[in-house]
Amino acid sequence: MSENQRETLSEVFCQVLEQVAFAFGELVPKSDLPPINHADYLLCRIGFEGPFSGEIEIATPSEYCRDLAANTLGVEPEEATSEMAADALKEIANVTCGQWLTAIAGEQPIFDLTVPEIEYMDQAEWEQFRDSQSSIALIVDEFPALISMSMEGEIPGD
Amino acid sequence: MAYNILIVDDSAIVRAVIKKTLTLAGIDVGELLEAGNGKEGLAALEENWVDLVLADINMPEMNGIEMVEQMSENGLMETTPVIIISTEGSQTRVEELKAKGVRAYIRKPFTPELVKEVIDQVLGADNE
Repeated sequence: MSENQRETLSEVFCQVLEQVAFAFGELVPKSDLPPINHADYLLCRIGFEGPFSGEIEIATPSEYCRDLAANTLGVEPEEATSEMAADALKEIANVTCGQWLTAIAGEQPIFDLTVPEIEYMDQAEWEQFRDSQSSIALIVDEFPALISMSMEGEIPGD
Repeated sequence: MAYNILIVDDSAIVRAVIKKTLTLAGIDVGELLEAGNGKEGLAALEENWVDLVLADINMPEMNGIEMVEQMSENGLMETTPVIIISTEGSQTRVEELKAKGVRAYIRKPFTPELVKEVIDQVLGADNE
């Protein structure tokens, strides 16, 4: 991921978090991520196909996804089910992908997005994703989040 | 006048947010129907009188574009206004959808004010 793509993706992700779930995130060096182990993590994957193709992956602790769901719905975190938590992350990934594609490719090209998919990750899988070169790290409301983007083809003007 | 509204989106959380938005926007809702994809949406349209469809594009089994095409074949686009609520930002796609009979497009994330404005325009035009 180029520096430009990395910045655009993190900016779009933070805007979407704020607009959808009233959450606030910032891009940080991976070394700044809090060294706390969480019970498990949710990874959401969404693909896109158009003038260029690829996929975006977003991961964060599943307990924080409950907060995102609660914020999105305007309910207490205890009322958010695990299904709502997964749904909230899927929606954030969906909107992030759509907004990011417009930010980098403009409003003319058509992209088909895949239906977002969710996977549970354990601590070892999280650490592997965190340590991969393709991921960037953010802190969102004191929780860690990782995003990666892979792509085939060239982004116009990049 | 209360409107029967069908929300077609595979995400339960998005359907809940749209329901809440309709209330916040002060839209007079009669019956509120929900479907998780285009296929379920078409089934709901067969069984119920619906004044307005709010549909996503990106859904499993049958997406929003396929649902609109099927509604055109069944003659439903002439009687039932459809507003697409989706994340995609391509103006080319929006124009394509309008050419298929979609009345309006709302891009996610949305505000209650925007939803009200668009629904008022679409239903107002139908009542004129």
